[in-house]
Amino acid sequence: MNLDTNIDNNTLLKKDNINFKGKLSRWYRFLLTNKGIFFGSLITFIVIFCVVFAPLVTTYDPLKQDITKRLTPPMWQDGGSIEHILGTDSMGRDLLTRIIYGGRFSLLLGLTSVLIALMVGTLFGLITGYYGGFLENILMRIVDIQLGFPFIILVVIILSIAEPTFWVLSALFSLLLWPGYARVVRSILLSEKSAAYVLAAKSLGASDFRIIIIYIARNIIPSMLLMSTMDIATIIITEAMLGFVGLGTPPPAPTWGNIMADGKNYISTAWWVITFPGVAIWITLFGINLFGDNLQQFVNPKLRKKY
Amino acid sequence: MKNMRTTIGSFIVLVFCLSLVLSSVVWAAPKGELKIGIAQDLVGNWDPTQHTVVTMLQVEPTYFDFLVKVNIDGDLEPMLATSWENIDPLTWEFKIRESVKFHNGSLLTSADVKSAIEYASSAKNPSSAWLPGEIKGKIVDDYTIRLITDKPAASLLYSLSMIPITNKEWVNNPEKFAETPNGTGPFKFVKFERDTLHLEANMDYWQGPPNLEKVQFQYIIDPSARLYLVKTGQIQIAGRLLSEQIPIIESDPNVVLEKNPIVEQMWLWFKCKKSPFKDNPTLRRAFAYAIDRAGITKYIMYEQAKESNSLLVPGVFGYAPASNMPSYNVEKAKELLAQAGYPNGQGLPPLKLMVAVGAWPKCKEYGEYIVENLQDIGIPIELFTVEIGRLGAICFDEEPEDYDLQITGWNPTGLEPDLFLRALFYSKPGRLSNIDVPEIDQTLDKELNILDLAKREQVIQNETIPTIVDYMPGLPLFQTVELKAVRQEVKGFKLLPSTVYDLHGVYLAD
Amino acid sequence: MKQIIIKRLIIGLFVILVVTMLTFALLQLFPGDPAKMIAPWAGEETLIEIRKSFGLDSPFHIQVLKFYQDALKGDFGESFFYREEVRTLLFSYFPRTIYLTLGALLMALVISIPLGVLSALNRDSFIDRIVLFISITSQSLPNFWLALMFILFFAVKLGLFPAGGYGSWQHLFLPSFALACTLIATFIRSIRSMMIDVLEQDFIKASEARGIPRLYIIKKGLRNTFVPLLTLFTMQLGYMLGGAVVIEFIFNYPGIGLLAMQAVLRRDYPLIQGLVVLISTVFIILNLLVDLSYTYLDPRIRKEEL
Repeated sequence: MNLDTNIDNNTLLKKDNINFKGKLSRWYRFLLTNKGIFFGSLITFIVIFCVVFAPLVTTYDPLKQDITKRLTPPMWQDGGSIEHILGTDSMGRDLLTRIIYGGRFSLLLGLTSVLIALMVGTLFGLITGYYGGFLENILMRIVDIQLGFPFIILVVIILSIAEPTFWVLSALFSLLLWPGYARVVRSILLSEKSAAYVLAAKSLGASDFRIIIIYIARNIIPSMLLMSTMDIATIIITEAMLGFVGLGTPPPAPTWGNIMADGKNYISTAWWVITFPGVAIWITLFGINLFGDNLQQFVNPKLRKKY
Repeated sequence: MKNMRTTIGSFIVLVFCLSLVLSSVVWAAPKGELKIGIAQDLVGNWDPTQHTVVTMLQVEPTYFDFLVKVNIDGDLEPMLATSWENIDPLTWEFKIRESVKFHNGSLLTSADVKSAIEYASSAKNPSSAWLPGEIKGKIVDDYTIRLITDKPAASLLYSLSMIPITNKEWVNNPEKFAETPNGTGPFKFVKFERDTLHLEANMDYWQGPPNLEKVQFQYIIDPSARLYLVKTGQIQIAGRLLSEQIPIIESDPNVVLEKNPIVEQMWLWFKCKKSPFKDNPTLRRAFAYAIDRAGITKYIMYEQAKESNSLLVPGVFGYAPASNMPSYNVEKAKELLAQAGYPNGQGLPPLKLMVAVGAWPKCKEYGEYIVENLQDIGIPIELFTVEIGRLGAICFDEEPEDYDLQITGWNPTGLEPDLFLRALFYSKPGRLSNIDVPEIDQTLDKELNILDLAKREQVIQNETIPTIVDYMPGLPLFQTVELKAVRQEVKGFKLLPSTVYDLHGVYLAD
Repeated sequence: MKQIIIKRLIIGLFVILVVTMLTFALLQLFPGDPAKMIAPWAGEETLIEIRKSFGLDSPFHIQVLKFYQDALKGDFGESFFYREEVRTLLFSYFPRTIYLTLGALLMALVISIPLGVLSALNRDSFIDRIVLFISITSQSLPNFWLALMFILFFAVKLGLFPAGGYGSWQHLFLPSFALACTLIATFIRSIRSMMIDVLEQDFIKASEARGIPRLYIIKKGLRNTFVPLLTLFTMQLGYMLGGAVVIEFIFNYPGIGLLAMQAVLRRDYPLIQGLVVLISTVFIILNLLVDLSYTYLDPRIRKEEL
């Protein structure tokens, strides 16, 4: 008989809340021993490293054109050379270099947008979840309208009005994502609101502020981390999509999306221009998703492997 | 007995002739559907006077006819006009072909010709850009009409090959045009649905029905998709392909490559009514010397382009390379830049070069290259990309907010020099560069009014073109060489330099 | 329960109204005069006439009111570009996107059910790891890139499937597959975890001991997964619509995504408005379904909170 089926790990966590150290070490242990998290983080770390230290990794200039060397194939094919390991694009620029610099843009965009969305969303979620009432209604209606608006149309309209700079894109993605955080925060709050330890703290005279920040916020962190990683992945793909249809950052700045857009016409003749940015996205997202998936097992213990 | 044999003999002969006739009629019956993939959007407006869109100009000859037609040698031959005569320097008299029916059944008369030509040449309408001013029609009888210009117009006859003859009930009636263009051409308009124009054979065509039952023009924006659809046979002709695709076309036994220089040039236009280009031809020439046009043709376009050194293209009357056309010379560019008042680019505001991605093959690529060329001499310039849909709305702006230069092609689908020179460089309506220089207007008016061919050619080559080039309202980048993939079962199709679709004689072999 | 549904529907209607008005407002900000987009070479007089014929010259609130009035009658006006009624365009394009999405659902199910069950049955084994690898991979691949790779291999090199257009089930195959990728990942994970749950339950172990065939147990387990899978699917639909735009673009598949993108790029105001109303309505109904399923799955969230 499984005696602890009703007492899941979240409850255990709550018990441990009183024992601050105990909880931390549990989490710490999990992060280190879980193989998925390890490899996921490793891959992501390598990608981040290449991207941040781009000038060290590649000595080429991503913007330098050389039209005499347009569309040279990758080094292992006929016509390729060691000078351009992955070949060149339609303006003779080194593809590998552009991909690495493109990664900078995508990752930075992801990070910034998610941070903004997280802050705004958490704030809203905390307020609405804890206080409820009229305020909550209004805020949830805003979320509804937000969700009812077809994202594609909004994006295309806004990108046709404003120039698609980094900050405009960032604002758009934050706009898309913050309801997700608000909802999650709110739902956790709702279920924690009536938990025993919260009522206990309240009866002992703890202020609302203290309760929110110290007790409840801690429970939110794993979910937030999970959502953030998944959202960064979404942003990377969506930016690529937008760049591909021509709505992303204008040339000549490389982003994974617009490198592929440039190569779209040459799909059957210079397949490498379209293929390698996609591979880069794949590897990056693989790392992120591996990390996120395993983290999810921790957050939602039903999926947890039994060791 | 003899009578019997004669009767039988003549009967046999009769049957033989009858069957010949019948089989030729049967053989000539239209069959098959020809599907053509086009690279640029059609406009949903069937009134030919309301636009100057090249795709429409290429497609209109399938459902409209003209008074005269330009044949493959560049000469004019009768079409809806059977003969013409020059009465005086300002007047030409035309005899109109009888028994020609519009698609709605009504008979073509000179009243239709009069209304069509007056409407097309009215200064209010965009189609007047092709024409030497307003043309008045005077009806002599149902099948005779006189066309009168207010000044002698050397380009008149040729221009008539570009005015579709529309029905007089349709003229100035947008509601009627919205339903169907109602022309007299070999094919009838059926519908325009989902970016595809559907046409069917006009069985009452005055030259006899065409050999195709149906024709379809489908807008397919992506060149890879266009080529792919031809390879699989889902369409039979695809245009505007890329040099890189040539090996794929040539290795396919079912597809033939048609390659021809056409009357289109790609241009870099300066917005001459906007600072800093306003009243500063030296600055514009400085830019022109900084651009490596040969490099663009050789490395970026290669099979798709020919180098251009004139405002016209070979084959157009009056063509000759312009001796003062700027070549790639960085030192000279820097010199002129300083002369223009902006040494090393200092003092110039940040400039933008507008390019509509996908509007012409690879235009973004040479746009980027041009930007780099200009940046190399210190000019603060960036590329500004817009979607194709927006190009038409902003490319004619006199003082656009968002850009200072643009890359736009010009294909007037004809061989008359004024289709280029007058349409592009006359101060009214101004079009792409908005250049407004009295000297240019004067020389254009001068050559227009010369009816003597040799003299006209001389003025065009020695005066008009050099004058315009000096003022540099626009720099021709290259002449387009069109690459078309045609399935081998399509017979009788020719890629004309004028790029119009002449489909009457085309048929599909089994 | 019924009260909640009605309440949500009213809120939904309110949302649609607000969203429509916002779109109107945004379109006013749009640079680019639709009259000029239709007749770029026309003179000022003609432009004024064109604007009049489209009702663009009346003040903002009158335009909005007129739109609502007409919409109630079911008339969404005529598309600037296609010169067809918006209503007819929407009705002909929308089903095609539905086919695409359903095709993706079907493919995702066909692939993920066997894989998920296999993985659950062989937990923590090599097979399990491979399936999880496939799952994460399909989630990490940009689906439009996958679509391009498909075109490269299956259509161009092998000639097995058409590279674009619409007409037969073959035209649907590659796009649906590309669209199905994200679904596959989430489905595999859910099926796996739900199957694991079912298999862990004691009475199952007892039944196994008594010799009841595994297949029967698996089927029972699968039956439980249908509702959660459907919920997952509806949750993903919103995102899939976005992905569908690019996929439709690549395959030149004439669905609602492609229509929306072209409508915006062409400044086809009536068509944009019609699309906004259609898509908002669909989203709202979907969200309602998702929320209802949430309460079905997790009764802890008190129903009044909806």
